[in-house]
Amino acid sequence: MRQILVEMARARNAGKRGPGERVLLADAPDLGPQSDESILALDEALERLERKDPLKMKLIEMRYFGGMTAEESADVLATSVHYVRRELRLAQAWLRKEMAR
Amino acid sequence: VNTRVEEVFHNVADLSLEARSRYFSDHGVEGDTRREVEALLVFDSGKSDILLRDISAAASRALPQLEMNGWFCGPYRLLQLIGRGGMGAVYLAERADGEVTQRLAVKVLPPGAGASQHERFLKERQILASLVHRILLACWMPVTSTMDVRIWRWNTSRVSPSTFSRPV
Repeated sequence: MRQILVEMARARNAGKRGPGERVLLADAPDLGPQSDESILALDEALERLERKDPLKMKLIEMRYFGGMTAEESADVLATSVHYVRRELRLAQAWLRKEMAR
Repeated sequence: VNTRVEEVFHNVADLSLEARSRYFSDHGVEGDTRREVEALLVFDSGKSDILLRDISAAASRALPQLEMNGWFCGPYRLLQLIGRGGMGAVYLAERADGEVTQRLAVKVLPPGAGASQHERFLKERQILASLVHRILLACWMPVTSTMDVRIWRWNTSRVSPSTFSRPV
């Protein structure tokens, strides 16, 4: 899901950047530039998070791109809901901090 | 984020400002560790998660409109969107691994489908598995855990896509 959103955002961004570049996904619904930039920035931040802490990145992906609840993530990863919530809380703070830079 | 920072973060996140400073001095949390914890706490907004909420809203608006024509699901290539509803999308597809020539309908759960949708999907599969009809040879396979796909094999010479969009 993350890939789909990022590709859609990239395609639209490319179209905006210059006449030489064509929009690859002409039918991609336009979510406005704000959304595109957010998604691309988030994608970059997630790549950094993955290098630091792959589990936290996974949890963020499950939560925001997979729509999974803490219970569902805990189930998939065979861990406790408490642990998932803790990890997510820190991962969210870290991400917001990264994206605010 | 190192483990010490994480530990301190969790220990002080729910404390008042005064209690936090007390914790820092009592536990000798100084320098880089303290600065990093404090920087993270600024962004520990708890309730308002505006940016990420916007992104999931953007995702939920964009993804249902996504057409997966040309995508692969296991050995099948999705050719054309036949119909879409709250429970997923159905595509005309063909077998693309060179094993046999075959056209099918493939149903894909909507992006981010929850546990209840998944459960209903599985029930539908069971119903389909027990149906016997000359135009319907039911079969199904899970492709990945995030993209469940159900497959109807049907005789394309007898069943048009519009017939298919109102299944049995």
